[in-house]
Formats: sequence, structure tokens, C-alpha cells
Amino acid sequence: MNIQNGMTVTFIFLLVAVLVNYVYFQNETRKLFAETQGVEKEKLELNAEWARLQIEMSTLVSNSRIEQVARDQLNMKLPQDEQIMVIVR
Amino acid sequence: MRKSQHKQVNISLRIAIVMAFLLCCFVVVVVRAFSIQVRGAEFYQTQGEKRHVREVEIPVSRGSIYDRNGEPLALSTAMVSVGIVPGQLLDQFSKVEQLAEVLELDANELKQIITARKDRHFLFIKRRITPMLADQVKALNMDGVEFRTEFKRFYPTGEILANVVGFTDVEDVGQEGLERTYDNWLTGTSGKKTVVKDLLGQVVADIDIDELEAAKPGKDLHLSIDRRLQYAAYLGLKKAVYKHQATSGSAVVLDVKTGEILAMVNQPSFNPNGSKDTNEGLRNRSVTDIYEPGSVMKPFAVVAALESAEYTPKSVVNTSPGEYEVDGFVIHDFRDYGELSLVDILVKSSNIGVAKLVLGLGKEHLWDVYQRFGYGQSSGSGFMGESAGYLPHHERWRTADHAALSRGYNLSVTTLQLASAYSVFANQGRYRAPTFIKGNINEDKAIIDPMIASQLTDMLSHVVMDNEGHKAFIPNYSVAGKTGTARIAEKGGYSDNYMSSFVGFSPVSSPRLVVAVSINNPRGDEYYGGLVAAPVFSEIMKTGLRLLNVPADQVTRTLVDLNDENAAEGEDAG
Repeated sequence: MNIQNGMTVTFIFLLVAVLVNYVYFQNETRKLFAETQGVEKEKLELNAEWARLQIEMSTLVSNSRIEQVARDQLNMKLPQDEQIMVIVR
Repeated sequence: MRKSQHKQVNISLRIAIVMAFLLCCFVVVVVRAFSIQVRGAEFYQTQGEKRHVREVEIPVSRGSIYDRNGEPLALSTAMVSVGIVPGQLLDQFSKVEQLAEVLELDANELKQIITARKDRHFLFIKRRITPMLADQVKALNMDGVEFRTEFKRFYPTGEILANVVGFTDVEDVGQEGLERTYDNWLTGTSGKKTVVKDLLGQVVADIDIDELEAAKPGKDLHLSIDRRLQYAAYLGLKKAVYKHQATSGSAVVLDVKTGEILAMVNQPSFNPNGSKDTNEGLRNRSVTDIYEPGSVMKPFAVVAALESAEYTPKSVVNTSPGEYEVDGFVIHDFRDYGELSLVDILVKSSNIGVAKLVLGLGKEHLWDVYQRFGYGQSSGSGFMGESAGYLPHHERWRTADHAALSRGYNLSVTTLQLASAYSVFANQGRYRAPTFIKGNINEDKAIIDPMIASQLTDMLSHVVMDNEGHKAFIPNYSVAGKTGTARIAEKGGYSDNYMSSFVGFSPVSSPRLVVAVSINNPRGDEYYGGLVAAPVFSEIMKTGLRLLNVPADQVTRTLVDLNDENAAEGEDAG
């Protein structure tokens, strides 16, 4: 009788513990899931940002712009044919 | 006693009544629970899922296109598209007006659409807006307005590469050019997953992980194009087309060793980032447009002569008196050149010379040579919409056709075909199909004797070097090539319009680049290929050799010879 009572009490405690645990981890899962969602979203945003920056860079390094900067700001120009000399080894 | 007995009975009766009542209630509850949980389970489950379980699409972007050095040529950026569920908006027209204002739409039109299509589940009202504008729409906090991620294609190089790369339509499907050719490769498959959402619309859990359709992003494409060379070639061609008021023009740069297309430019072009309302610029003329090439075909007629073993480069043909009748047609030369060697036939571009060479050889042989060089067949580049050109079968040739074919009439070619055919001379007699994809090198096959290829290379270098002040000349490099000036065919004969071309390669000692230039209908005073197309060739070739660091093989001005100790010492002393 005593043993039976003891077992019942133990099982009840176990059950309660398991149930609390379940609820706790369910909550934990939800939290982690929300976090992954947030990170996924951040990834998408960063990707979009990266694509925008890539586009911005490609306009900044476009051949026509570099040519213009080299010519107008740095006073550079392509050498004429007669200005080119070749070093023979 | 009696009284108390009476009371006792009364109590137990009351208890029984209460118990019975409670039992009834319990039965009612059980029956109701049964009806809901067992009989109505499906209904309530679907109702519940309808409210909380959603299938969401996982958007994927189209693959990017890069040049051979990893510079971007086509990119997709994430944009937000706004859609509505018309049924949910019927009773909130005041908010619809705000929505229309933010999105710069006509409010009345939008209301009409909502009423007319109230049974539709979803329809887009504005596609591909910036994330910033999307935030403004989200701030309105409206039911029945949904957002989807879509991608917008952007082409950083603009018109420079427009008709080669092509463009996509509003559904992100390739419409023209390489975007269309490699559409399957570039397109990703958007995935699907089932999720549970809470009352606020936040996703709380993924379910059905097993049935999740995985999202596969589109694959990137690395082209063989070199953006720097493409830019230089485009400017060179555009300048010439403008200067000579030509109708159109094309230029192709091939890497001799790999068959990779390093640059391919066309005029007119268009802006792929704007509206594509001009039809003229959309075509990639280098591969879609065919024309009778004229004198640039003469080297292939000479190949036929050399293969017959009846001629060597030094053999002499008499072209006097500058007129030659074949089958009732009279062939003219620029003037009476007298006796010409095979080399000089090419140098002077003698129509009579090549006609006399091929007429003695048989039609089938010339046809076979042309065929081997790829004329009349698709080049194998895989470009969608590529033309195979036109080479009539030798059984249908009359004698006059035979002579005409030797100087590049009665057949049609693309500029890319010319470039590929000339690269055979530069590549020791081996033909390699050109490619647009970096590293995707096609197998080459021997189509002429390497000996003949080197003889032709030598003869073609004479064409440029023997003509004083030839416009294809490049300082410090040896150049081989041939001009062409062909009348453009019209209904019932030939017009006074010309196709000016130049095809050549450099450096002759170890050829690296083949450049083919064709300019259609120059309307200025100059129309000869040597004056119109050759300067473009020289400009593109010069830039190409510089960009690829190709060593000079014909140095005319040296600074100092480092191997010469005296010179080096003299330098030190100075």
C-alpha cells in the first residue's frame, strides 16, 4: 500500500515535471523560431542591400565614368601611337 | 419523528433531482463535445487552419550575369510588389483612397477594379516598388493588402552590351539575347512552405517540413565577354557609324586560342534599363543579320586554289585587261593589274584573279571549302536566334554564280561567322566554334592543312603591310586581314549602298585576337571597307592587345635594349 502510494506520487510529480518541461520547450521553440525568422528576414535585407551596393559600385566604376575622371580630374590621356616606345628584352 | 422522516425523504428526492439535472447537463456537454470533436472535426479543423495555416512562397532571385573578370552585367535586386484581395477592401474605400495616393494610382480606377473583380483572391496593383515606399504602404495597416517580394533586373553596362545580354519581361522571363538563351539556367524555382500564423499575422511555426518544396535560386552565368574591351569596341564602332552616317554596324572580337567571344557590339543599340519601345536596336546583329560579305571571302577562294596543288602563293595569274567575261557577265577590276601572284591577288583584291583561280577548280571544291569554314551553318555559339547564313548548294550554281561566290557574292554570312572563319588561319587550320561562356571551350577540328593556314596568314599580312598607310595598321604589331566592300542586294539587282567590312587578326607571329567589323550602308563620301571598317578594326585590336598584355612582335621604336650591355652602361653613365 505504501509502495503503491509512493509510486503514484512519484509518477504524478514526473508527469507534472514532463508537462512543465513540454510547455517550456514549446515556448523555447517558438522563441527560437521567431529568431530564425528574424535572421532570415535580415538575410534577405542584407542580400538586397548587397545587390544595391553592387549596382552602385558598378555605376561608379563604369568605364565611361573612369575615363571621364581620368581625363578631367587627373588630366590623364591615352598616349598617341608615336609616343609609345617598346622596351626590348 | 414523522416530520423529520418526511424531511429526509424530501432531501434524498431533491438530491436525486439535482443529480439527474446535472447528469442531463453532462450528457448534453458530452454529446456536444462528441459532435464537435468527432463528427464536426474536419470542418472545424479546416476552419482553424484557414485562419492560422498559410502556404507561403519562398521567393528566389534570378541568377546574375558576370563578365569574364567577375564584373556584373545583369543583377537582380529585391523589390516589393503590392497586391490586394478585392473582397476585403469593398467596405473600406476611404483607406483605398489613401492607398492609391501613396502608390500614385488613380483612386477611382482602383475602386472600379475592386468592385469589378471582387471575387478574385489576389491581384497585383503595383509591382516592384522600392522597400521605402513599401514601408509607407505597410504603415496604412490595411486588411486585404498583401506584399510579395519580386526581383527587378538591372543592367549596369546599359546599351554597351544590351543586345547581347538581352533582357527579361515583367515576369522575370528572358525575352532576348543571352537572358533568353540561358533562361533555364538563370531561372530559379521558388519554394513553398506551410506555416502557422498567430492572430497578428506573425509566423509562429513551420509545419509540413517534409513536404516543403525547396527553393532553388537561379544559377549565375559567367560570360566570356571582357567588359573593358566591350566598352572600347562599342565606342569605336559607335563613333564610326556616326561619322559615316551608317545604318548599322557590328563588331566581334574572338580569342583565337579558345574561341571565346571577348566582345560583341552592335549599332544601333538600346537602353535595357528603360522601356524597350525601339525595335531597331534589339537585335544582336552580329549573329542575326546576314549579308553578302564581298572581298573578305577571297582568302577562302585562295584556300581552294592552294588545296588543289595546282597553285602556290607565287603562282601567277594574268588579270589583263581588267575585264573578264564569264557566262555573259563581265567582271571588273579597279584597274588593269596585269600579271598577279596569288599574294598580290589578295593585296590588290582582284576580282578577275580569284574568278580565274576558282573557275578551273570545280564547283564542288569551292563549296566544300566554304562549308568547312562554317558558312551556311550555325556557328555553334548557341545564341538563340542565331542565323546560319546562306550558302547555295553547288549543284545549283551556274558558272557566273561560281565566279560571284569567289568574290563573296551569292552567299550570306554573319559577322560572327566571318570572325570564326578567319580564326582558322590564326589557329593553324583548326576550326573552333565560338562561345559566349567563360571556360566553355568547344573542341576544335582540323579543317585545312596547317601549311596552307600559315601561307594564308602570311598572304593576309601582306594585304595590310604592303598597302602603304593601310588603316588597319597597328604600331609595333604585325596585322593580317582583308577588307571587303560589297554592294547591298535589292529587289532586282544591286543598290548603290555598300557593306564595308574588315576581318583580321594580330599579332601575326602568334595570333591572339580576331576582330571582324562590318558597317552597313555608310552614307558619307567614304564607303570602302579599308576606309570605313579598317580604322575601327585597328582601334579595337589595339585596345585588345593592350588589355590582354600581348607582347609586341614588330617593334618600330625601341627605348633601350636591356640585353645590350653597352646600351645599358651608356644609360647608367648618362
